[in-house]
Amino acid sequence: MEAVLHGFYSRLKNGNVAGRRCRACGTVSFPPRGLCGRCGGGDAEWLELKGTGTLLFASAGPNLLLGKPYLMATVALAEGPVISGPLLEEFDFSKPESVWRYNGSEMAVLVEIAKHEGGGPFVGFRLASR
Amino acid sequence: MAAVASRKKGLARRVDIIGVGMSALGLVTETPAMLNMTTRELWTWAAREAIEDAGIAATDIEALFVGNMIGEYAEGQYHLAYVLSQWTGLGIGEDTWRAAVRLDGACASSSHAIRAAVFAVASGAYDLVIAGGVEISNAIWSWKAPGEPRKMTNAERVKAIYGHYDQAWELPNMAMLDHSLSQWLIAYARRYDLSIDRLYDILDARIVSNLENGLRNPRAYWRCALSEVAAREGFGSVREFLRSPSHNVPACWPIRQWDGPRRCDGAAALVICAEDVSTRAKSQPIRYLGTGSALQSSAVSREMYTQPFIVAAGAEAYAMAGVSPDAVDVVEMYDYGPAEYIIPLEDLGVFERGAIGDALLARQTWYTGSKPINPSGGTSCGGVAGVVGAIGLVHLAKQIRNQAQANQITPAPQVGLVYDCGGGRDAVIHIVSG
Repeated sequence: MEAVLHGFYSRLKNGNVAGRRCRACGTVSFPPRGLCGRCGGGDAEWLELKGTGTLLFASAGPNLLLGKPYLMATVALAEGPVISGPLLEEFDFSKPESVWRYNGSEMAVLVEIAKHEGGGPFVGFRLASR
Repeated sequence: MAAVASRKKGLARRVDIIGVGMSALGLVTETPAMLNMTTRELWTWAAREAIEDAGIAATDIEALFVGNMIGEYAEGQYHLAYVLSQWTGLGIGEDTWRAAVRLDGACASSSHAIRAAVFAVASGAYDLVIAGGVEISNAIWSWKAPGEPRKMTNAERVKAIYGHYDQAWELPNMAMLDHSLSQWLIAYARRYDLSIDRLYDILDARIVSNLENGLRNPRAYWRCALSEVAAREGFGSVREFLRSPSHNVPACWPIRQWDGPRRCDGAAALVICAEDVSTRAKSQPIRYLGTGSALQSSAVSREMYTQPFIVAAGAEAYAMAGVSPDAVDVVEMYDYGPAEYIIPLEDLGVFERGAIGDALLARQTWYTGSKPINPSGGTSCGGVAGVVGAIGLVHLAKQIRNQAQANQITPAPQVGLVYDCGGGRDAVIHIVSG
């Protein structure tokens, strides 16, 4: 076993978004976990993500942690996992219903490493064609 | 070993709920009946009522299982169960007390405690136990001023409640639950080609259904005659009131303030025993037929209008209980908002897919309707994070025994289901019958 979280965020700080690929069945876990959820295998390797995915759903509303609104996207990564995180696009939050257009659109997105104000890195998304 | 998971599961012996009880629901900083109480008094209130309902003595109880979510923050108390065993009279000699354990599953904490208690009895380890949940999530006190709770600030609540998130992924990467739940609704609307106006009709009908049911529940925290509120605020109809952004303030679109829960503090407890012990009970035993539980990582899924973890939890519970969704007469559920009402009810087969809107608008979900949902009023009339499942089972027991009051379903239901969920991604289901 290794310090997986430390490894993940160290890579993120260096500009790499990495998941874990099970050496037994090839399943990619993202965010990284311990044993493989598909086959139970415990032997995994780091895999840098392609950084692409498909936008499945998006929502517009408050972020109580930051005290300001944001867009959240749910994305199917090219490697398979479905995850959610901030959609780093301009948005008029006085018209939240316009988030409808992102839903079911299956637009291509790019994974982007962003930074909290004065804090650490996080994984966000941008539309591939704008 | 793969074949093990597919073997039929069941309780090793039959288990009954023979006593139910709950504290008042409200705010320990405001509600007169519970003013300045802590989790100890609230739990004792609920436990005493359950013990008296069962017609047993506290000292007959062999173990205690309590669900609690944020005791560390509200009271600095994580080792809660050993205190509650003492407060609940589970003595076995001079200053010696029965085994007690606290379980945490975020908002579904009480349901996890009840499952553990049922398994303990079904295994034969114990014959008679008490289980449930207690939560103070709107007030805070510390060892420096015991018994002097003050109102929790919003920042304190966020810090406490956000422990339900994956601290290593969801918080740093802002995968927030209120957004996930909005996406459940948006996906549902898209799946069934609902206009935004039609979606709001459905959301409004759920608020009305819960409030109409809860208005008649004497144990509800918040009994609200919505038509009177609307009229008082100068609106010609409930619909106009609920569509007014100034009176039904937008939250995470399309969800609005009145779609959310009415947060409060409280406790609920069940006396649970082996079938052969329940013959000694004072009240009608409720048979615990089965349970299921499954998880998701961030409350998102590929399709979102359906949540595979809820489907899986339901399949497990129905198989253990030996009943089909059609047999369910009444549901009490953790509906922290409309998404956690609509999606589970369809994923659990209580309603056909895409049918919940018509059912709500036809008032089928009212306590007078053909498929009552939340006859208690649900979390719209009082949501105690960490205790919703236990409160739901208390209400179902009353309904099945024909002991509910103005909100009694007639004829009394036979089979009831509780859907509980922690953090929008930790589903627990209980199925019980008369």
